[in-house]
Amino acid sequence: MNLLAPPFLYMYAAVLCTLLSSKHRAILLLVVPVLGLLSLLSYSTGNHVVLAMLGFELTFVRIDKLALVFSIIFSIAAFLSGIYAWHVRDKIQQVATLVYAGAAIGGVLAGDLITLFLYWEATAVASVFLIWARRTDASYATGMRYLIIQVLSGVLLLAGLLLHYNDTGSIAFEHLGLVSLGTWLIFIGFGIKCAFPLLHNWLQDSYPAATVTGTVILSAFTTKMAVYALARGYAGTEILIYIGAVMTLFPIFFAEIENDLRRVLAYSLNNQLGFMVVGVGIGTELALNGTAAHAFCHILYKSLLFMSVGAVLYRTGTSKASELGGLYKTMPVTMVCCLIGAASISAFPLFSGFISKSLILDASAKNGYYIVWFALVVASAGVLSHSGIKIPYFTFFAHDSGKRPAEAPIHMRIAMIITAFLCVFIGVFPGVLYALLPYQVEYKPYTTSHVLAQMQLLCFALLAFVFLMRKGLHPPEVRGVNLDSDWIYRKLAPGLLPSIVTAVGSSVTSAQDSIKSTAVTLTRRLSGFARPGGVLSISWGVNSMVLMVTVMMLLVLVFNFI
Amino acid sequence: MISDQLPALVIVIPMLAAPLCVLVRKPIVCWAIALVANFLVVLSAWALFEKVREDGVIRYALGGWAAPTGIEYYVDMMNATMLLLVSFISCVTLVYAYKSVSKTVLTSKHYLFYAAWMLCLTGLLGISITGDAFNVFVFLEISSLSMYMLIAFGTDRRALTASFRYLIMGSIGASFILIGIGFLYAATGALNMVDLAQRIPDAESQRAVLVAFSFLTIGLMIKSAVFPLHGWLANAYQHSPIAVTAFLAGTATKVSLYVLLRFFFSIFGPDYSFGAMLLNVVLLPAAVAGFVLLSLVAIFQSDLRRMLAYSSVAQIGYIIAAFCLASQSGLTAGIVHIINHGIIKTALFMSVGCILYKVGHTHSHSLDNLMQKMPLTVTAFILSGLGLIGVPLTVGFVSKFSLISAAMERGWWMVGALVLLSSLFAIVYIGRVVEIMLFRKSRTETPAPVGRSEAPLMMLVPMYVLIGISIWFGVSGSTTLSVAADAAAALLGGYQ
Amino acid sequence: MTEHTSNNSDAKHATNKEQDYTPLAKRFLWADSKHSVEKVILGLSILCGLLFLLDFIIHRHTYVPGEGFPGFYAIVGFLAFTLIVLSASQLRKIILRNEQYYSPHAVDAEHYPEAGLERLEHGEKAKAVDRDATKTGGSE
Repeated sequence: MNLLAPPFLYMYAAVLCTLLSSKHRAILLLVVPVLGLLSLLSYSTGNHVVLAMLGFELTFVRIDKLALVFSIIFSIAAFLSGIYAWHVRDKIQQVATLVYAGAAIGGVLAGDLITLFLYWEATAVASVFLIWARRTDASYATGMRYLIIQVLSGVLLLAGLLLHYNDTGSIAFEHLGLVSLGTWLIFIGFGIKCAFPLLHNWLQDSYPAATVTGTVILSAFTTKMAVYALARGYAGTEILIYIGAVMTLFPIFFAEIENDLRRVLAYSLNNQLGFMVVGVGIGTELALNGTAAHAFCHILYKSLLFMSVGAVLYRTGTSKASELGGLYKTMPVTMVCCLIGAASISAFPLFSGFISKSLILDASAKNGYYIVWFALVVASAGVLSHSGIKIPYFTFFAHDSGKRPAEAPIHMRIAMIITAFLCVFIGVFPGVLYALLPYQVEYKPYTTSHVLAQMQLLCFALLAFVFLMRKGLHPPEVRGVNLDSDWIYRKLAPGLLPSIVTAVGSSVTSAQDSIKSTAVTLTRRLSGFARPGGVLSISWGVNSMVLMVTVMMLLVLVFNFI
Repeated sequence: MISDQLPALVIVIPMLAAPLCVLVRKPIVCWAIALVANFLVVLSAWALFEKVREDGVIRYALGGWAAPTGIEYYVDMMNATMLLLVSFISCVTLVYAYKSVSKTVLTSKHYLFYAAWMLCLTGLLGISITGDAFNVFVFLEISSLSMYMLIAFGTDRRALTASFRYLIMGSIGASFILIGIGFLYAATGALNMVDLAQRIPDAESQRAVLVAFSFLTIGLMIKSAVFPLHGWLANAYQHSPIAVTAFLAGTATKVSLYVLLRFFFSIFGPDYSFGAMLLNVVLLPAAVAGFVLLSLVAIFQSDLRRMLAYSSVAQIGYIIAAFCLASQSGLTAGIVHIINHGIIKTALFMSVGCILYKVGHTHSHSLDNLMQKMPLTVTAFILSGLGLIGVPLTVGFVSKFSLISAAMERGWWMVGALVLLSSLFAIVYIGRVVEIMLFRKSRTETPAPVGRSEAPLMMLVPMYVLIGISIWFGVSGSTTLSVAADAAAALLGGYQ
Repeated sequence: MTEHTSNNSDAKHATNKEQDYTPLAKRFLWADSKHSVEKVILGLSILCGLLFLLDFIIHRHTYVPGEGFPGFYAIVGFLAFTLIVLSASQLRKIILRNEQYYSPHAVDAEHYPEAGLERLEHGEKAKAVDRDATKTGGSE
């Protein structure tokens, strides 16, 4: 049974995938998540697959309800993206998908920090191929930025876990709390993957750069693994509440004016993560349930939105709002699915977002974080603006772009319809999801007050949209790039660096030149009688090497004799 | 009993194989002789390794002459490991070498190539096994001279200058070592390492010991290509025949590092080397600067071999930094990395060799879309590249992890942080190449249909053997870690 | 890939008529008529009015001070949305740049590579091409 642990299954499949023909690979991508889910459910609560590695006992499968709910939704997401990506024949993407999904599930099941780190790095390395697979120079540069930041997160995690291990002698991945430098480093490492404010840029930078299917896959795993890690390690850490509140608010403004719809969704993803982070920060049973439930629903409706925008991109070659509009006539199924996704993320009653977001809102209100609660309410209205209205409206309605693309391919439609069905199903029967949650909490989302409050909020926000459109105050969709804080490392630093580098470089070359010339004159003076013609003069390298030896010898002698 | 003569066999077999090659002259037979000899050496080294692991230190008096007069071979866990590593890498590379050598080296010179290889192997094994300081120098010269020859076999005329530079630097290094040994002899009257270790603390002229120590330090730093004395390495690696590069990268610098360990830890003792002698003031900054700066340099190299050469210098920096910790865990990390890096760097150079064999050059910019043409080679490059970066579940991670935790144990946070920084650089230089091989060509709209044209099996199999081993060592890190821990304990425990 | 557009030019004209749309799409054709949109907006306004009035009839269960204020959510929803949109427009004035700003190191200015797409006009059948050959997956 050890060998059939879910993450391992994905890795075997990845290896197998390299040997199969393209059709079989696509089937494999569907079969593996099912097998993985079966294997997952066959474990009982507790630690399994404990292997001795690196001189530690590493727990590869730790089953409890928190891990279970995340790994189940990851398996579902892997399956759905497998259907959606049925047409992909690119072996590299398929292998990367398997490794990436397996690593994300492995990370969630990890029972200790080292195992977590193993998978943490694996997700980074595997996922970058989904960006590079676009095969343009820009995607290469973007992928490199993404990879460096992702690995930096892993590096911080590693440094933190070593410090933590030094302090406590334990590598167990349990509640950590912000108690030492080590746990702070781990926290920041998690924070990068979770796209904390100012650490978030990789998300909006990379997701629009991935392939059509790659973005759907990317959107499901990395950030939610980080949410899981935070929930496991830092539940009830108060600072998270405020971080989360800021996260829910600031992306709204960027999403509102962004033109690339996949980037709008990336900002919106960031905003949704904020809700989950607030839940983790509050840390009560209700709040953690809210985080888990919201992650579950979020993966579904965010995938659905990325799928529908992806389908549009697949058919029209663009995902820019300014180029789209009026597509409902020829892509009605995509449009309806997109609307369901939009309704879910906006948390309309009877859609999945409603039954998960209200857990977090209630938790914040019950624990007296009124300002945070208010921020979340405002953010809910904001979600409606960019994800609920902007995405479907500017893609499928608004001004007619004249584009008449064909409906999405059948496999994409199937994937979208299943996902849309799940969004509605969870919204209508929340009990099914609630049964999976980490804690036993009696919670009723469909009370009159709740429904009424939410309907008021959303309907009046819609009214505001109508009002703004009428008055011409709604920002039009224009092509362009919006700066974010990553401007510092993408523009400012590279702008400054060349001058620094040239300054340093010129001093280095001049130093080399002077070393070279002194070395030549030195050797000439010291061995003025017999210079082995030609040979030494071209290989000046020997001169400088010998000089180096002399310098080092001098250093060693000086240090040894004083 | 043959098992008692194992220490001698390890040296004698390749030494005899060399003249035999010269006598036979027929390329394939020479190769077969070398291979068989090498295989026997691997078996002997393996047997020796097992024996030492079970029974402890073996002291073998060569020719029956007892220690002070004769030459003694002293085998503990440390050099048993080195013997196994060196002979094994040599054996695997030799299998690999046949195809690539027959393509690049004149057929009439093949017998010399294999003879030089055998002599080089003799030298390297001799250095590792001997317990006599002067004997170290002798074997060092044997290995170095034959190595200059091997490098000069490169197709490029630049191979000659590369070899020449290496010769100059190697000779300077060797002279420094010789002078150091001479001073030691003058101060103590002993050449046997065990005797040296005993007599150094009581030597009359501590100043002579100090001078000896300084000369040895520099000599060994040159030989192991520690930054900033690494200048010879890049050219030598770039221009020599690729099989030789693979062989060199896995063994030559590693053996020099072993000598450095032997002198600093067994003979002078860690307290002397790293305590009184302030070696850390010179060696540690050099090591750290080495792995940070040269990883950075590697990013900008367009030639794969040169990139890997600079990466080798950087990796040596890791190893030296680990030695500088002078603790059980530090030494363990260093030794583990000697083993791991030996394996993955050899595998990497082998994959580059396959590319060279089929594509004809190693300029990374024009290796577009190589994945379609040579999937197995590129996969091998990726797998071992991941190991170099230190991605979890690879050998590189085992090394990196143990190095960082050893540094933390000593409280050297900065070193740990810089190791992590330089592994970020490694991601860039490996990632850059991988991206080109996997995706670059497909960016143009109509890619030229390229058929699959993979390197011959004779090259692929040895490469994958090494990669298989590296994966095994990576997944169960404890295999190598326990061996390295024993070796480190042997070094720190001093001579019995 | 220019062959797409050349192949489909006749298909485009043929399918640009309403009767060719699928039944599902036909149900949404009202979105093109100004009149119907006005009706929908009117409906929304009525719904909003009703929801607002309900607040006076139904007692909402509240946790937060002020939450029970009649029409609290209605006001917050309307104002928050308006403020977000208006301030985002101001933000745009500061941070909007040319699409080429980060190029060539960002995807904003480039077209999505055709190899990863399957552009089809409405009514056009997917060509049964061997995608392995057209898509250079770095595989096979």
